[in-house]
Amino acid sequence: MTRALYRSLLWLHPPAFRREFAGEMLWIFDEATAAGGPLGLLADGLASLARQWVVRCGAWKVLAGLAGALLQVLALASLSHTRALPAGALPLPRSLDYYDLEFSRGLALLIILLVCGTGFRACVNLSRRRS
Amino acid sequence: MVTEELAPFLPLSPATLHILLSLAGEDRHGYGIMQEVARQSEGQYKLGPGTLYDNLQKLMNQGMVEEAARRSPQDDPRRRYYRLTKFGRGLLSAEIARLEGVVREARHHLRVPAPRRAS
Repeated sequence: MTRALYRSLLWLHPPAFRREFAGEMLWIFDEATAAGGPLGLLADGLASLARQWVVRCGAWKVLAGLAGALLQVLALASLSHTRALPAGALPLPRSLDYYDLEFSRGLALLIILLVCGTGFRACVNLSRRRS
Repeated sequence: MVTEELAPFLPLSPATLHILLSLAGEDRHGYGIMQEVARQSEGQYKLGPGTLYDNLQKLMNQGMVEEAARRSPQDDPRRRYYRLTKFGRGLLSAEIARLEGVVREARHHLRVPAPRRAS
């Protein structure tokens, strides 16, 4: 059961790393579990999985870009809800017109897609280069 | 004296230092490295396979460690041996020299002052 779980964790690693080291890591798992408990090894496998995807593959750049774009969308969305102004208040400037806000939201979504696409291509290229 | 070639890699991380140190004596396979690191640190520093192979991948890409030939054809095919390169050995020596300097400084500053004689 724990061996199957560890094997699944290894399978989820980036392909280049998996091809190079998964066999050895599974062999060590077999050897080490005979000597002690498998919990530490499973935790190490999880940490390795996160490190390989986030640090080595550069997925953190995609996540950071995504978070930035999401913040932009949220900021614009909150601005669009401030249109109901109390009577007597000055009208919003032309730059915050409803259609402009919609355009900005669309632009932010486009940025999200571009960042995701670029990050994904970078990950795939890196993976190919390593293999 | 640390050369320009070695300077960007220093100081070494604890995992890198222990891995290079474990390979300084002889070629070892992954599990052998893990056991040697635990032995050298008297069980205080334990490497998991994930940490080990992440570091090994990095060290191989940087040219500090390379794969060595199998010891015998009867060996488990999943078992691969690793060894230090000349560059890795030089880097380890430079790190040890740096650490010796740190220990010397620490001893100098932490020295307990000698008690004064009663007159």
